[in-house]
Amino acid sequence: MIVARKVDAVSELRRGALELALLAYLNRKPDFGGAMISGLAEATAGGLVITEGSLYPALGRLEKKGFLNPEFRKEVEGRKPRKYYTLTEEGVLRLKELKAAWIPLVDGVTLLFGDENDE
Amino acid sequence: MMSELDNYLKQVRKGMRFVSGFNKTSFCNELAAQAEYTGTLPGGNPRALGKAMRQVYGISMWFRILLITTAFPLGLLSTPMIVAWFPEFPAILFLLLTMLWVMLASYYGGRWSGLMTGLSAAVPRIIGLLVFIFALEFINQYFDSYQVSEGTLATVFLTSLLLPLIGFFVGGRIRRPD
Repeated sequence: MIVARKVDAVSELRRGALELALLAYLNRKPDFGGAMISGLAEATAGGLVITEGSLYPALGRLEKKGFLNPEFRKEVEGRKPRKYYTLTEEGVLRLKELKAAWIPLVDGVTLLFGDENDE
Repeated sequence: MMSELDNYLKQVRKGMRFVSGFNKTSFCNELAAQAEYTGTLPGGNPRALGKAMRQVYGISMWFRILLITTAFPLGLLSTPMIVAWFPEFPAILFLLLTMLWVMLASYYGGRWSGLMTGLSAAVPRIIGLLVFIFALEFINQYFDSYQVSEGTLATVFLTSLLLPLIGFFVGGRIRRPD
């Protein structure tokens, strides 16, 4: 029971950070779902490993809010078109807004961990 | 791989029940393109993924309309006043059915669909109530001094009020998969 709660808490933490991570990732380059899972893991040095179950609903929500502009591109003949996501102007603004809130938050919380790390 | 992917997508589609066909197909195409790129099946529980996507896209407009319009006759048949015309009519059974229908609307369509479906079911009940309050004399010209106690009227009013509230509050969030 306690283990289950711990997993939930970590999941909640990831979910909270996922929107910002996706916006930041897509601000670097437009990408499609399949490549984003490995791309995010690489870009965060394994810090943010996600599955389709988290990725697609998050992309869907961001798209619905108007932060992402999806576009199907057929890159290779005979293969299925891939859905590429690009940040919209609103998405860029949202990223700036979240980033401004995120950095002091992480810095502040990390300061709290300082004492524990020293022990 | 193809048949496994087909099975996976079939489960995703099941999870996305009542979402518009366009959104279902578009999302399944996206997953299929991913599987083609990675050479593996997408991970996680496909049905849970489908349900999470249903929460994102919402149910189709047609299904929403069906839920709301069906609630109206169900609400009408659940009105106890109908017993004045048909004494053996099981209005209480229809009230339970109406509640289940509103909960179904809330589960699939979210709290606003639940609220609208509940309101659609409550309207004929409230109309029946008002008719019995203000037109009882007229009704009694045709029936044998039909009477409704204040308690019954209050119960009808409260249960009618309950329907949109059930729709709004029962619509629990579907847990997103990790």
